[in-house]
Amino acid sequence: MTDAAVSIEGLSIDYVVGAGRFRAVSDVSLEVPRGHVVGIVGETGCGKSTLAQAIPRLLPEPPATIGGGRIVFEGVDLVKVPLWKMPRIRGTGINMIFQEPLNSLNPAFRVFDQVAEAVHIRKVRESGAGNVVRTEPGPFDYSRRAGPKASDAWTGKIVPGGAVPEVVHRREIERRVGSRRDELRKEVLDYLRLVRINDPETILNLYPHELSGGMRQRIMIAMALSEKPSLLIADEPTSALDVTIQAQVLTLMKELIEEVHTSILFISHDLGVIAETADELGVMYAGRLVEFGPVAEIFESPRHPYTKVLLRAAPTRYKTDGPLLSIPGNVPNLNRPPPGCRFHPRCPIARPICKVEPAPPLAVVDGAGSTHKSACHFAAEVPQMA
Amino acid sequence: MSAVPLVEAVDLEKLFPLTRSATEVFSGKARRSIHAVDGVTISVMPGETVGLIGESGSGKTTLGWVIARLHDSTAGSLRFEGQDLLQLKGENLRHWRHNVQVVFQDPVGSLDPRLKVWQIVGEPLRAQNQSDRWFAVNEPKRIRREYRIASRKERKRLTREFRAGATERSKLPPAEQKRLEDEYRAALQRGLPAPVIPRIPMPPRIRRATVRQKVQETLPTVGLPVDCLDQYPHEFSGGGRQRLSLARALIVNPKLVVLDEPTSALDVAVQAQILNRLVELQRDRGFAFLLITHNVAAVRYVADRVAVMYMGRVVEVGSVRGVLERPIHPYTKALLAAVPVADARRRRTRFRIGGDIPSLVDPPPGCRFAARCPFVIDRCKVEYPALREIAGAPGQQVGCHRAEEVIDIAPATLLTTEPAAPPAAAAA
Repeated sequence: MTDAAVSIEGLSIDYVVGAGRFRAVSDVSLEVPRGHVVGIVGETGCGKSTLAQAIPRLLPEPPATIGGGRIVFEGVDLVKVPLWKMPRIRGTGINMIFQEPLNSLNPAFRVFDQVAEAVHIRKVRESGAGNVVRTEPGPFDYSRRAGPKASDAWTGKIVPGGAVPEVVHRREIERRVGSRRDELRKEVLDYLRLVRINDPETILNLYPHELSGGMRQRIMIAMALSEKPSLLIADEPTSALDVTIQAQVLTLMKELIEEVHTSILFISHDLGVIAETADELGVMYAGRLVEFGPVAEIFESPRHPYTKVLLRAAPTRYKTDGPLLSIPGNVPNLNRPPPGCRFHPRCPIARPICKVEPAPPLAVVDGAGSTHKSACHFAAEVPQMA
Repeated sequence: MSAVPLVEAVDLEKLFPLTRSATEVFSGKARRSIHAVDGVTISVMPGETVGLIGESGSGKTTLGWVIARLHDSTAGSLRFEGQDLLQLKGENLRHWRHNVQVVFQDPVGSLDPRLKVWQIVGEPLRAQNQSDRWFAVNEPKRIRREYRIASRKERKRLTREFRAGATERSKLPPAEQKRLEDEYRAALQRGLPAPVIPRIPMPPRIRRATVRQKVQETLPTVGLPVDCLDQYPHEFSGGGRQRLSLARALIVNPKLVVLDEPTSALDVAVQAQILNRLVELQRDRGFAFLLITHNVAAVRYVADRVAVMYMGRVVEVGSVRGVLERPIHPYTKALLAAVPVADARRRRTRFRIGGDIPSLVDPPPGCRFAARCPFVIDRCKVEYPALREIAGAPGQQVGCHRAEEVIDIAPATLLTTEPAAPPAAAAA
């Protein structure tokens, strides 16, 4: 097994809407190495959020269906895991930070209850306690259905070959795993301090609407980290925040990568944010990964025309310096993607071959030792592009 | 550019009072309020773009709303082309409204999902048509009424003066007395000069076909196809909805457009298209823009002048090049340093300005940024620094006691590559 937190191989995701079917993500392969931050950029509708949600299988299936490929996480192919087993993986294995912190926190519960719930669930899992006596151990415990069920105890059914399940009160579980309120309180405070919240004792008793956007996003990060995930997927974590708060959250995330050993898949449409955070960068266009490589190399010498025009579209000049360079045309409709390379109608260096032949698969551009890959017939010509 | 500013706000203030609990009311506790906009002086010239930047909660949206008369200010003065805006109310205010239009922050929430494009974009036309018809009837009436009131006052004044002079008059010879009395009677008879009552032709009620045609003419100016008149807003992408919002604002030919975060929901390529369109529109049709955003890059490209707001106050105003290239106020420096740059070399740096915006409920005296400022001195905590020009930065006003000392400190020094102080937490 390679040293990757997650490796995605040839993943395709389709949406079936009405009579139509369109491929939101097509044939994407990428790897998130352990302890690295991998950024994904692209315009709205390029499939980056679909990709992010597909990894912990959070996409609503249907309308979404995984059309092919593998998502290998800790040696398990997540595409083949039945959906009812996924909650076991989601908390401790893969965790997500969503874009809208107000919508992802429960407005009816205090901050303490929300963070404590995450800590409690982790403790129950770690200790193996529960209302079911489990028969088989595993890296992730998928045995909920294999072993005896909780309902068996109520009906008095005798389970062949297994122990009679023990049904205990919730309080008893809390006692066994050490998650009484006062015990949890200490841990929750630790996590709030970890995400640099001043005066956590006061914050504990507040409701989400009483906190500022940056504070809420930090609570979300605290919740995600309290389950100690080995992969954290951040889907536009700072898009709803403004620059000074965004800078604080990004600083915090960068520090946390070193403190708690985790890998991050960072989705954003903000090139500046990606430049400051990510180690590797993937650029997506119309459901395909068009370029992948170390972030410094991509920013300095992009090898796909789309990356090049995307980088130039960022406004850095004054009105008197002339108009901004924008990308002509619109994002293609994925119902009927253009034939050939999907970027050719908007590409400044398109040639006749691009209209008929599909874009080549990601290929290394600079000799053997490099990890910088591009999916363009004319990757070598991009640096000379006007 | 003429000398009369299009909009001129002086010491504008908007407080939102908080509700008091019953205990607080009976114990005689004073009503507290949120100081959203707290003494802002700002002006917009015709055909100019003023950028308003600051964190969320700094009062920039509230200021935009007060200038568009969507909120009533609690103190200060607001003039539009020299006319006192705060006096306008009711239908007169409505008739004025075509001068200032707003593009709202949320392109999804500000478009009615049950109306078609031509209805959404054409709605201001119908409202203005109604208002014009009202104006045609009521403007002559208003002038006549004002004349009536003024002449009644004039008559009263003349009579009062005549009566007050009775004793003095009785000492004069009878011929003189007679002359004065005749003069008084003639003045009463004459009254005030007759008013000019304009003949305003009654505009006809606007027809559906006219609205549709006007909408059809407006859509290309914001880069939308003309054949989408009968579509609904959900059929548009985020950029398309923002264009619809812009078309709705521009259809009545406003003099000022308040743009409230026009591009924050859009990604880079679409943002570039919209910003280009804004600059073109201004060049061709001479709109003035008030651009409210926290996106410094957008302000850099679109604005002529920038005002930086923090906690309801303007801390720095100046030309866009001056403020963005040589910020003076420590807050402006911090804000600019926090902007992520698409440059992979500037990585792994740490932002030094900590903390969130403090509470806006009855803030303490002194500089609002004192709690977070790295250059704070004791004076900052007691005395509010007024906006002033300092030597070395002509045309730039800054509200900082230590402006002369901090002027040469580069924003990048607010970033550091040193690791953070080890946190107290032990959860790893």
